[in-house]
Amino acid sequence: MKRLLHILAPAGFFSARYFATRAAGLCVLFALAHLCGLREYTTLLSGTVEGADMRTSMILGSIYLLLYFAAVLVAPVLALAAGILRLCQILRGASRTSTPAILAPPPLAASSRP
Amino acid sequence: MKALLLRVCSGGAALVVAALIWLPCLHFFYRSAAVNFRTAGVSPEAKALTARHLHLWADADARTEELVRLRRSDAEWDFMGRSFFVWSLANIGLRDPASAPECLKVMDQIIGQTLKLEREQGLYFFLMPYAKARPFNLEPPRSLFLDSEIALMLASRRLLQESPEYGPLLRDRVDLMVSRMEQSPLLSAESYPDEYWVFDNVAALAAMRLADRLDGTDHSALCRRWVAVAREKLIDKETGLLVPRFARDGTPLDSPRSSSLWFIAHCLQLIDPGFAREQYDKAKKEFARELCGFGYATEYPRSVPDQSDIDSGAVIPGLRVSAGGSGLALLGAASFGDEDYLRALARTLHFAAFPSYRKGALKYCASNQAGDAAILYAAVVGPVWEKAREAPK
Repeated sequence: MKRLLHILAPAGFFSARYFATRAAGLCVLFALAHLCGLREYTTLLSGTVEGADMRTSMILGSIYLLLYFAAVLVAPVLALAAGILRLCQILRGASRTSTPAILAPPPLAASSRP
Repeated sequence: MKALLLRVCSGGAALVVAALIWLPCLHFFYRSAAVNFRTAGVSPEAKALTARHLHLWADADARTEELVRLRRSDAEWDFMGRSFFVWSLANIGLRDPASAPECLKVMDQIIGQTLKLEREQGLYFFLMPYAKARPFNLEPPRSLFLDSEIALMLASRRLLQESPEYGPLLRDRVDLMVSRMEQSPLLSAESYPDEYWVFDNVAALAAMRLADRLDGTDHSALCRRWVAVAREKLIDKETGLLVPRFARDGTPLDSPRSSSLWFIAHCLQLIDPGFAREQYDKAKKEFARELCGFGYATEYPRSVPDQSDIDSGAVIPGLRVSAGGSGLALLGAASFGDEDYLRALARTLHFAAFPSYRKGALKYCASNQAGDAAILYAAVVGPVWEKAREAPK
């Protein structure tokens, strides 16, 4: 069970770093697809085929579409989620270090006893 | 285990919050694109789209490559790309008189070539292969798809600037269309064997209205009769929308679909403005959608299951987005001054149709030459119809 859990949820799973690396990865993959000129193959949406081979055209167009929507819709959400988690960590850290100062009884109260 | 559960919960919550922030804000990144789509005069986007088409018509190799690509999927697109571009040029010439000489030159080139191809290769050159599967009901075979759009090209050209050469060509084509429509019980002519397309019949009637303006003829009685027949026999009971195609006896061959209806409503503006508005409003109710600031159109009404074909383009499952229907929805929204929907559609165009600028020329990668010409038409449509509504000379 532990082994399965480790495979499904490795260390750092769903952490800020986990989201940030995935967001960056999606953007890099999309940039590669874009630089390779796969954007032209999205013409499959209109039912037109780019190049001679229909099958290749469909596959390349579909890859571009998936990566584009991943980069535009998913990656920013992952990046924002990473930011939110990091912010929470910072705030929690700050509250831990500052809690005694805030919540601890004021020293003056102790020393004001007669 | 507990730590992992906590991490998954906090991570999941962060994802939900992030999605709630990002998705509704995404459309703000496409604000200027929506504004630039259609402006007074010729919009920056229309200029860039025109530049691409002008390049295609100036460069024979580039044009051949593009046309081969189009014709491999559908020979109709080769023809429709020509029609939409010629109609666009007429509107551009009227919007910006300084550009009229260049517009006229290209319009003449396209019209001349198209008429030559029709004459030399015959009507099947621009039709889908199933046109040869059986005989047309009316002999000799003619397709109203070609006649109506060629008539609209000729009339648009003459509205921009009169041409003695095109006068007789338009009058002959109009007489031919009238004669064939009058021979049918539903006052409609065939586009394919025993297939009567409302799209082509309203385009024919719109061309007649332009011819009335140019030549002082009067086809208003035929228009009134056609609308009366259409209201009685060609309306889908459930939606109140015109069926896109039907057999000679009026049997519908398809459910109402947006890739036809936006254009139908646009042409009806010259035939019966009240009926046009009614059809646009009903089409908007059935097909128009907006999600997080992005507009689109479905291909079929809510009650009809999705199907995709050569006219609809790809239909994205789930959201039911129709590429063809959404592209032509731009024309509907522009024709009826529906600014909010037009901007929402223009945002989607820039978000999901993959604009590609090269040397000041724009094309949409997800589209093709015919689709881009239709988008250009939506960006400039207006002046030709306005001129047609003026009193005849």
